[in-house]
Amino acid sequence: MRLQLDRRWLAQWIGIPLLAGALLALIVPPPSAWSVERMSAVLLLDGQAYFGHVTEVPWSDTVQVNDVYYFQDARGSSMNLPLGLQRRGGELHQPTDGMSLRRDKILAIEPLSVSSAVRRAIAVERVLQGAR
Amino acid sequence: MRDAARRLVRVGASLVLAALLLAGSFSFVRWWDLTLPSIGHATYQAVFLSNGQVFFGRYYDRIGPYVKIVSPYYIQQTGDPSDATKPAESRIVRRGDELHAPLPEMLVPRTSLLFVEDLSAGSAVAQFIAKDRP
Repeated sequence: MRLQLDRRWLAQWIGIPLLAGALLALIVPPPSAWSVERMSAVLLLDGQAYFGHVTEVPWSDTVQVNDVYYFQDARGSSMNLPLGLQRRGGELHQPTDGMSLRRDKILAIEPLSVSSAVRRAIAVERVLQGAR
Repeated sequence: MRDAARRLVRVGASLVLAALLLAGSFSFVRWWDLTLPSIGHATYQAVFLSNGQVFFGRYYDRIGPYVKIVSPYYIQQTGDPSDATKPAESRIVRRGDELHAPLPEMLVPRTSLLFVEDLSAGSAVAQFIAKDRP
């Protein structure tokens, strides 16, 4: 009875706080990222790069990317630029927001810095989309 | 009455202990970042990826599906290989000045990893990184 009580106390006051602290450290972003939107570049093995909010899907072999942007040849467009930023969703098949990427097809994931030109271009694109 | 006071002290002490353990566990995992200890390894490594790219930097093996490369550098080829008058030149570049301006850390899925090599202390690449690293 005494042993059972001690075990309960150990779990309640030691086990749970230790576990909660570890989980919080993994889930809560660092203070430096609190005021800025967390965006990452997902570079694929085939050379394609997607930018967006990356979420790891636990116990799965996929990675979820939301609010996805990518670069496309824009020489044929009215802008006539070698590269144009596109938001995923406006393609012929009109996918909904969110891509599930197979982890074994990903080359690397890189967090974008605050001063990233891509981040600025995404902000401009969002403003333009809001105006449309 | 004394029993109630004793119980209150015990609960208070338990709460303080729990808060300290939570903060300690939080700080430890943040600092640790699930990296596995790399005893006996060199300061910098060359990381060969399955698409043929090579990155140099601090390689950290981690628990989970990703490894981490901190302060990655890569070799950039300049010049036109088809033009004999302009011989190709190679230079080492710090990752971060690209259009998307990534932070100096990369997460690489284990499936994209070909192999990792330690750089010797005399390695020109290692010496360059040691000098250049902010």
